[in-house]
Amino acid sequence: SHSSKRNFNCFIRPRILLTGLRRSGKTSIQRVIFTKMSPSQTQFLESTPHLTLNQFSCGSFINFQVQELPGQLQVFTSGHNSGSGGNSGLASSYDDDTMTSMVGGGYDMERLLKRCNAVVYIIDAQDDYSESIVRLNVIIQIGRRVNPRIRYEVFIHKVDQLSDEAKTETQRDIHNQVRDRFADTVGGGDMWSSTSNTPNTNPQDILINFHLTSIYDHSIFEAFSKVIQKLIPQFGHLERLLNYLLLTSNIDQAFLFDVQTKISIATDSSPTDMQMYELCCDMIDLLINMSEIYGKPNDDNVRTINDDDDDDDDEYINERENLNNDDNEQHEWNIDTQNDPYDENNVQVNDLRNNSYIHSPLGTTPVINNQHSSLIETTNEPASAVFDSMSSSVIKLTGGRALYLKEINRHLALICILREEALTKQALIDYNVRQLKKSIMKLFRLNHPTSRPPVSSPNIV
Amino acid sequence: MMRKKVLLMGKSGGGKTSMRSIIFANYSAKDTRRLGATMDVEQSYVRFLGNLILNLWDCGGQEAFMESYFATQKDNIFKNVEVLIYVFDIQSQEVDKDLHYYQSCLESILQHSCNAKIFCLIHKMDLISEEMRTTIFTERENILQDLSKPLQCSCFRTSIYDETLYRAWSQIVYQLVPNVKGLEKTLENFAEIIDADEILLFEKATFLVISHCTRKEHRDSHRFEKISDIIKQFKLSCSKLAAAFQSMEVRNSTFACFIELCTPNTYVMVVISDPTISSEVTLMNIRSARKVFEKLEKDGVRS
Ligand SMILES: Nc1nc2c(ncn2[C@@H]2O[C@H](COP(=O)(O)OP(=O)(O)OP(=O)(O)O)[C@@H](O)[C@H]2O)c(=O)[nH]1
Ligand SMILES: Nc1nc2c(ncn2[C@@H]2O[C@H](COP(=O)(O)OP(=O)(O)O)[C@@H](O)[C@H]2O)c(=O)[nH]1
Ligand SMILES: [Mg+2]
Repeated sequence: SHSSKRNFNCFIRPRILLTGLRRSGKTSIQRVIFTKMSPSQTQFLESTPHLTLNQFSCGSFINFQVQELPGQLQVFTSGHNSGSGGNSGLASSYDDDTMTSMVGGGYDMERLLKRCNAVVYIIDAQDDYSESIVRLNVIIQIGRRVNPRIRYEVFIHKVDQLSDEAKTETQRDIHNQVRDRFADTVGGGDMWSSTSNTPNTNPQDILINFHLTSIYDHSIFEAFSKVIQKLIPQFGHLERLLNYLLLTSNIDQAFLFDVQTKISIATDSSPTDMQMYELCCDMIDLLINMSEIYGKPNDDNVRTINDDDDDDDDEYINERENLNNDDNEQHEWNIDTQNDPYDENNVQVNDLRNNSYIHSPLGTTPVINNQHSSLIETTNEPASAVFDSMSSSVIKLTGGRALYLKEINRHLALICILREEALTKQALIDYNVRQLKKSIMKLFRLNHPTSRPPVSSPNIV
Repeated sequence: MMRKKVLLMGKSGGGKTSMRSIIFANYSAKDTRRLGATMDVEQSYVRFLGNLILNLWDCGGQEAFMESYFATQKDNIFKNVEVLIYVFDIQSQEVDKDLHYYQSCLESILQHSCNAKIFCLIHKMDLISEEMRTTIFTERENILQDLSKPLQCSCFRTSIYDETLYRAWSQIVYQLVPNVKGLEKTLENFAEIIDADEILLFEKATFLVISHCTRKEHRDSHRFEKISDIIKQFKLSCSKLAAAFQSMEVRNSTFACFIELCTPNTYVMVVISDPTISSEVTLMNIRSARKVFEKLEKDGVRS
């Protein structure tokens, strides 16, 4: 029974469809968050002409997939229900200029939407965005039909050049435009729910959220964190654990961060502000950057001192199985895909090891042109060779506040904001954080049935 | 009080005001986009290390101003200069003209302040793709060093978006710190007593490294400017919450690093790799060393 369990997919792998018009910033966003490209270097990026698929792991337990769908691609809906007249009219308006390059290719929006948990839609706020909103509405309409549980996260992007008033104004304007056009096409605004906090009571509700973002500050990290948090099933449980820590240790605020991406996968339930979030990100930078200068990346050391909860081998085995065995996950994460012949492996056209081109990339028509194929990139290294089980930091600020950081596992860090007085009982905090760490490990291990035999490593210090 | 004159020159839009605002006035790189062109000469006094005052002359680079610097204002501008910083915008379309102005500037310096130290900053390197940076910089450096003869100039590649800014400015400021030797000696003693791998002394406002003692060889020769950049970024982040940091401790299984206020004008950073030394002991040692440094700082300026 153990081995059958092993086949069961225990990783959480939400799928995010990242799309928006060309040059809206899709590639830049991924590069900045996941590969640490500096924002100014993104201006040298070339436009991605095809659908790309990226696997990311976050906090070692959370894997997710980002599909970048370029805006200039022709998107068609599979014949039988391209429904309302308005729909097809709108669809053509954004394809005109690129039709020529699209002979023989194309992506089936219905299939993409059926298989994803959230759509992250990028609107370039520095550009005329009406065309972009038209396209967003086409997507929402298709999505409403094929997968009503999708969340739409609209990033109003490149707002770094806008004043605060202009930001608010742009957000309001885009919000209104999306709503109005949507109301037009479905004949009423009653299916509209503009906050994602509203539980999905009415299946007709559209879950849509707006975020002001820029790669030149932390807003993109914060927005992406919110997207991820909503897709993590354990979020509620993590939140309760952090609340409990607050209570027992006299802490004001607590965040759980993926160290590598600076995505915050959970927070306590008190409201958080952008500036605190930013300060926490900067504390991670500080810790990693200083450790990279003065800490020795001693592999042996790191591995043996590391928690027994953290077994590399198992993780990697699972990761492989994941790639080949995606069906189980579909039940958990996607509705209405039982008879869908689509297999994710078909997308993995440019698998680095075997360069063979397989089947059609998400389209119902066979591939004629290889340039529409996609790449897989995987980001799954440990956060940093210098982030280890002893990684920690305490920073005292003026005004009596302090920051406290502790390693949870090789990907995750806990950051607390507290009063300096509370630090006088740092031993208590340390103890409670160790307890928290155990609970978090247990929580994820419930979803991690491949628990290994008792650790008997001889090198444990 | 000791006052030292620093000239900042170069073509308009080159980044002079941006750099000085980041180093001395806590601007973030992004804030500099709001700066307007400097009209004529903008003087500022920066209290640096308490008793040392840097007198920065930020000379607006528009042509009409430049012409007058070399004509009517010549004596006033070029006398008593301790350091000349000449900024070249890598994006400039008129390289010949830039070089021509630089030459005029050198002539005036030679005439009025022939002992001034000269620094050339090849600036906005972030706009060049990474692979090209070294080639382009070396090319410019050779041209400038040729042109500067018989004077010596030190060239740096800089960008306000990374630590290269701090590398250049640390070197510049190092020329100006009084009693560098005395500071180094004291740091050495201190490091020995507490068995530290490395100790750095930062000027409090700029976080530029003004003195250091290294007892254990280190692989990264650019670490000081990186640290200045890292801490300055964090300081900016704190200032958004209307706070500043007072002290910090960062560690992993192989090192512990402490940053604490040292004198009213400096921070000290202590790096220790012996895990058996507890934080409390190190912190106590740092506190007891403060008096020595305070006295030294006062003496340094008198000498
Ligand atoms: N990309 C890039 N832009 C920079 C850099 N440094 C400065 N800038 C930008 O260049 C512009 C002009 O900078 P200033 O500092 O006002 O130039 P200045 O040399 O003082 O110009 P004058 O006062 O007219 O002589 C600002 O918008 C800065 O943001 C840099 O390293 N990289
Ligand atoms: N000012 C600003 N420019 C951005 C931002 N994000 C991306 N860009 C720029 O937008 C351009 C297009 O980005 P890219 O990622 O290639 O767009 P894609 O076609 O949607 O993948 C690049 O020159 C980026 O530097 C942002 O937040 N602010
Ligand atoms: Mg200026």
